[in-house]
Amino acid sequence: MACRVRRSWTRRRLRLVLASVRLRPPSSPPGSTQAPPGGPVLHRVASGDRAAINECVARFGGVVWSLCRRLSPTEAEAEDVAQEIFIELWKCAGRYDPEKQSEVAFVAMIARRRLIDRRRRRQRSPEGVPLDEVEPASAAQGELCAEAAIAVKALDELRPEQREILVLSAVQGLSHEEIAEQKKLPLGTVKAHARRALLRVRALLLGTPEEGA
Amino acid sequence: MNPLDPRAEELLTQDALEGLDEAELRELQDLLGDQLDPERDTFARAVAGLDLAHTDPTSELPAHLRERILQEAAPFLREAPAPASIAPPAAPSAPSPGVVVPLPSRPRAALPWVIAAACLVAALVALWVRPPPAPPQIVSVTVTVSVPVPPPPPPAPREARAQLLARGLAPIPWGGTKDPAAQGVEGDVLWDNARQEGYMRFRGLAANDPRKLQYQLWIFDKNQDARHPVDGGVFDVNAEGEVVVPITAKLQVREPTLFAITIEKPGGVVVSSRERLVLAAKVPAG
Repeated sequence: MACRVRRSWTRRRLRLVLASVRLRPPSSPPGSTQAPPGGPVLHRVASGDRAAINECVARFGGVVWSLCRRLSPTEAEAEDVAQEIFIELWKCAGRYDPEKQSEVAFVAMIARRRLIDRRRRRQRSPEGVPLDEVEPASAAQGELCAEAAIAVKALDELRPEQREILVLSAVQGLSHEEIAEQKKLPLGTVKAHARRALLRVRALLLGTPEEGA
Repeated sequence: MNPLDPRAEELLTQDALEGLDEAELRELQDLLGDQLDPERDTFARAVAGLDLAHTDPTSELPAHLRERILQEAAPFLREAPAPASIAPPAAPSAPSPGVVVPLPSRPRAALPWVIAAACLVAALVALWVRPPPAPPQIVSVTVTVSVPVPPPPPPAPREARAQLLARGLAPIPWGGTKDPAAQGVEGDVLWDNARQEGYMRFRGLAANDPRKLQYQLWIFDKNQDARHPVDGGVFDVNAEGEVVVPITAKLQVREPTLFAITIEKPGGVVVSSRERLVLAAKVPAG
């Protein structure tokens, strides 16, 4: 597994050179960070605008579905949680602050929280997906929202063992216990790697010096 | 931003990646105080960035799921009033040569003038032929018109379920048994104890022939002998795909602990032999 991760990352680095200069164009493809005319669609959703709800599903449906498929053990479970995510989104769309983050990042946060809740309810981990299947497709496409571009940059700067743990945890959805078992590492080491890696991503995102590194 | 306590960092990382239990969340609250939510947000944003970097931009919601999501958005819609439709005036058709066409009548425009003129004439006549009237007597007449308004139709089960979800209730997933009817079944049960209302959702539950057998829901209550669960209603499954069935509890449910579905004879039974237990959903403690 470790070799596969490293091989995969060598390929990714080459793509990132391109990805870093090809950010999302100003049109509004799905998940675009561009604020549409009339204000953020999430604010219009909060006001109960039917057209905005349609637009929201059209713009963010793909992102939500991609996350749900990746982190759910079955397609049926992915469908259930996708429905829950959108209901949650309708409820808290008014909390979106365009000063803090892009709309798609807000949607991804809501989705992740709901997926975590679901997993905790299920009390079992999703089936692992081979890492090659979860390559950063956005890097291959050369279109990244700001948060994703920063995350990719941060990942690239991490020490290999930290990066591997963070990818297994955040991207594949493995629990720290499962990673410890799989990698034959003490649980404390896994947690420490995950923490340092995530702190690095967070520091780059906030533009602050890294804490606790 | 102030440096974080190492334990807070550890908990925030776990929160963003795996979630926290109640005790851990309380511990984090104690460590961070009013900075809890802002700090949780920064870690969640970092994970969201990772998520987006690994998201397939060509991914699309399946059409049936998209439809369902839009249907479930109904409780959150506030319809704007439709703008009054202003139809352009119809252009008069051109008269045929040699045909005398009367001027277009404008009854609506002329009506106020006709009424005003009639009133004036009537007033003049009244003044002319009658003595000055007595001081006017004010008579108040109240007319109450009772127009029966039909009550709005109850929402469809799927929509009603979405409304319960919107109130923050968490569905409980079904667990299957070895019964053949349970194979590959997925879904959940959603119950609002305060409203005594709930819905079951199934995907893959075998269609039944109601002349031979029916499904019956049982609700186990903490305050009631487990041998006598509350009858949650008899139902049929006659459709493919996802089915949403309302729960019709025959008694008040006070503290549900378990929802179970059995297969029974048509019409259901008062006491189940539980020979064919198909699905069960255990209510999480607390």
